[in-house]
Amino acid sequence: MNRTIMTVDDSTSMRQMVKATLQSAGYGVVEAADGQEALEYARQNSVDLVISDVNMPRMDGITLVGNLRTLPTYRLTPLLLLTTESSHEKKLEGKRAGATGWIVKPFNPAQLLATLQKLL
Amino acid sequence: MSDPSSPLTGSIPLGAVLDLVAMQLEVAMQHAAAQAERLSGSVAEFSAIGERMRARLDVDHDPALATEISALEAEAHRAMNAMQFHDQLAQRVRHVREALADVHDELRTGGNPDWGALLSRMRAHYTMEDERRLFDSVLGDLAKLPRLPEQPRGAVRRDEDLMPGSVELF
Repeated sequence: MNRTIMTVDDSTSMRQMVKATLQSAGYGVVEAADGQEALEYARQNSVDLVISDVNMPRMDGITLVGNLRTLPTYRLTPLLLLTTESSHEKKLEGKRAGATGWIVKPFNPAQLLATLQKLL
Repeated sequence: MSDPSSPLTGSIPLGAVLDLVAMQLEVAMQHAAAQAERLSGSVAEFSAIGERMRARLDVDHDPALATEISALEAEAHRAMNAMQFHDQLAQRVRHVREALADVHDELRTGGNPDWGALLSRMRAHYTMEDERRLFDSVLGDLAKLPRLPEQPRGAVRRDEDLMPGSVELF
């Protein structure tokens, strides 16, 4: 079964890198430029996993994770935060909001794919 | 040498200078973003070409080509890792612009600046550990804020879960 992953980042080049990595492993990819756009998509559609940046305009990644966890479809969906943010407090905030994991940028494509294999 | 008839003699319009610096940074980043998107698009396409070639490849018939494709894919992955520099650079520049805006706002009030509050706001913009470390090393004594612990040269980091590229599943 073809799995679909949503990548959420306000940086176009970051979305391109994540998308290319995921497509190289056969995943379908949906893109969103911020948390608000991602949440609007998620209210109408389901995906198998979400990879989101933290610091974004309109809605940040931690708020997105909290909102996704309130949607029945996304109660158990793996939600990864991919960020330059390196404070333990922020990471704890992400965990409390319901994130499944925390990846510090820049990501290593092979390592990201190995992580996805564990989760899907 | 300055012109004595200049209206700027004796004072510098610091707010305008800060505005100019912020604008120059913004223009530079807009130019860089367009090029970075083009480059990352090319890197993604190299990766896709590698995938398409592998799908059509008969490995038993042409092992040398299989090796070349593997090398191409590995190189594309390294480039994907390196291309993320732009996202980090954009964030670092944004934090500098935000700090300049804080200074500008503080100066605009005209009264005695609350330097402690200003420095605290400036530090709060930073999201990367090395940004915070740099701030602490330059302004930490003035700011009187909790600092990141000193890191002796060659020390082994204990917070490896927050190192670039690290993955932690909760």
